[in-house]
Amino acid sequence: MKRKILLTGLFSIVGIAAFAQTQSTPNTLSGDLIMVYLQATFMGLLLSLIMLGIVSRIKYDLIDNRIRSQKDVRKRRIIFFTVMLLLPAVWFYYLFFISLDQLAGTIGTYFVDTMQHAYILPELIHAYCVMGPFVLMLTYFLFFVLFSWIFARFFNKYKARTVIYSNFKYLGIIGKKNKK
Amino acid sequence: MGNKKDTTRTSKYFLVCAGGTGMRCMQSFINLCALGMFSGQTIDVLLLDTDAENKDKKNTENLIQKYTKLMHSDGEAKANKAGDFFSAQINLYTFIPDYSKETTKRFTLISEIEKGDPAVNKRLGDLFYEEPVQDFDLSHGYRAQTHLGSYLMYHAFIEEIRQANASDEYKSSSDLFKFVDRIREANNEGEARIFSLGSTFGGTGASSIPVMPIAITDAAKIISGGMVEMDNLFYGASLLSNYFTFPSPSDAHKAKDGIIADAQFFPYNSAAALMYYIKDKTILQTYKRFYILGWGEFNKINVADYKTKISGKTGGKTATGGKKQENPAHILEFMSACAAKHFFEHGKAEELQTIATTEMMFKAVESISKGDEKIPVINFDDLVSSPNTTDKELSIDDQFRDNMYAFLSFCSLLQERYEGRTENLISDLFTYNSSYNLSEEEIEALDFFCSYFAMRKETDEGEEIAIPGWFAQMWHSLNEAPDGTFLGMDPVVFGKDTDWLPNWNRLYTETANDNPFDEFVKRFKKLNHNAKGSDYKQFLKDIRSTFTSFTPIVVDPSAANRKTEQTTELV
Repeated sequence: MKRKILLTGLFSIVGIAAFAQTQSTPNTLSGDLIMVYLQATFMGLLLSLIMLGIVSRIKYDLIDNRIRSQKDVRKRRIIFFTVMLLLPAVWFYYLFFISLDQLAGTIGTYFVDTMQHAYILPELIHAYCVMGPFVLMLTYFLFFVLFSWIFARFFNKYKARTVIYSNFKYLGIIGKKNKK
Repeated sequence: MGNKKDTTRTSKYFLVCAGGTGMRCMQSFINLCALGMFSGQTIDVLLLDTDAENKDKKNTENLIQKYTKLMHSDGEAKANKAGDFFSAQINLYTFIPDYSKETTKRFTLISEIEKGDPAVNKRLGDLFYEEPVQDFDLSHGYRAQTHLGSYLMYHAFIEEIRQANASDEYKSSSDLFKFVDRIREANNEGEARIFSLGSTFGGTGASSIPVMPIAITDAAKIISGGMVEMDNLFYGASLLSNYFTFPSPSDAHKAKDGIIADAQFFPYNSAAALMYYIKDKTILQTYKRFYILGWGEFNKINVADYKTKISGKTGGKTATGGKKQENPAHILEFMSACAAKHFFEHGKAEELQTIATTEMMFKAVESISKGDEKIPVINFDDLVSSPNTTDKELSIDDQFRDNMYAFLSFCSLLQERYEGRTENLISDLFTYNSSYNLSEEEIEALDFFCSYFAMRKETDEGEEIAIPGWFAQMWHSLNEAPDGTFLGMDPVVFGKDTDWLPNWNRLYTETANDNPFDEFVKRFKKLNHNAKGSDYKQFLKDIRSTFTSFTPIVVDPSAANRKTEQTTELV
């Protein structure tokens, strides 16, 4: 199961390669930039769902705190935030070092006529490699928050929610209520 | 929180627990209440003993005290409905005739034989009692001398009520007066069911049961000044014949104490008592129902062996009473408590009125062989009866199973993960955004109760020993019942091989096959969501709803036999 989740995650990240490449022109540029952000957003959504499955695999832990502290919430958080921090790097690495061909004028799902519209490629590079990772990270986080809430609220699945909210505090630290 | 007597609600159920066996039966009854089997009911309990130091009595009082800190009155008071844990209100009263004084420690002193004409008095006394019986120390009870005990108990009752009636100060301090007064009130309101728990073969219980209806009715009449007819008092009792044994006292011990309980005579005591109960006209007219409980040909547990094997305590000399009289729980005591439930909840007052002579209630259980011995097969429907159930509703025995499994699981989980500390479980649940506010008193009571029920650890001469809980003690009393013969449970559950830590995960399909703690929290959260500062009642309710939602594993005792037969055929 873990392998399946891992493979699905990797396929999703490099899934952009499966899109048919389209030409970006000055007329389509603004739409293309939005499409780049949408790609990052969609990726964030997909990965947050996958992460929801991964963190839900970690079992609840009941243990006397005199023996050791509970570790399950910590484990979920470590996995979630590690992936969150790695995602932009993976995305950036893939798009900048593998997908980008400055001579051919291709990046992601776009190619550009660099002879006629040289300025478009830097715009796309900026969108893919600077804003893209940021959007990906942000949407991954936000969708995870949203989905974990939905799962807790409507499907009574609370494990993923503990990543965001435990001990009646956000991330276990932001909030007023304390243990007795 | 109701940790005091609730005298605002009229109770119609009264329980009298007499002697060491009565005390242990009472512990079973308390457990029945803790398991939610008297949901929404109020029960007034009188602990009656002649031995203030009796360890069983102290344990019972202690258990009731803990219980009262957790009890509440929520729940539907219905015979066929099991409710939340600790949902019965118990009002405790205690009466111990004082035989510790220099003027009361012997029959001869109480009867003032030396006053008036001592020679005539002595001859009269000798007509009824042998000389050693007249002279033994009563501070450890009646020592199986029921002919003396019944006489003394009746008079102790009447004397106490007379003294209380004469003085307001005495009245306010007399538990017996308050108990009888509650019975009088219930009689005036139409119905009081009084059930006696005790043995037929020992001392205090066997002495008290025969005289209880007369003593209570006469005492109630004294309080009412004889102005009210006591027509609505209905008496029942469980008659426990001998079911345990202990080593006979040594000759030196016999010589020192003169009169001493000897287990080898218990079968004869029981037989003689039963003959009396079924023939005596006064008994047959006053008691409405008897629940006759015997141990037949089943192996009787030797309490000295138990203490040596299980708790590591060496026996020493036979305990006639006092601090050393503490025996393990037995299934027959639990059945007595279930008999009380049956008496309280079955048949209307009008039906009881029509019973002219005592109804004898009994029930046979099937048995299987274990080596040369026979082992009874006990199911939940042997303990409670469920005459009317609809398809929609679980029968009372199934509800009983659900609650029993749930409570045992909860208590065992606490022991397994938190060394019995509820506080730490609550702390872990807080991490998962479920918060409960329990007072220190409630936590302490719950910790105690769960340890008592599942398993506890004691330090004996610097060494830590595991003591089986009340529930495992009952299993042990059945000669460690194999293959689901005890309530359909896998013997592994009782934790004999795990230092008496019950393997609760083997009670449910879900927890047996997967990580039990993960399954528990998942189900807990699914059913109860995020509790925010809920009280102990809600905490127990949530715990119960979680465990009862799992699928119970019921082991079929005959399955093992079938398997053996099949193997034999193949060979």
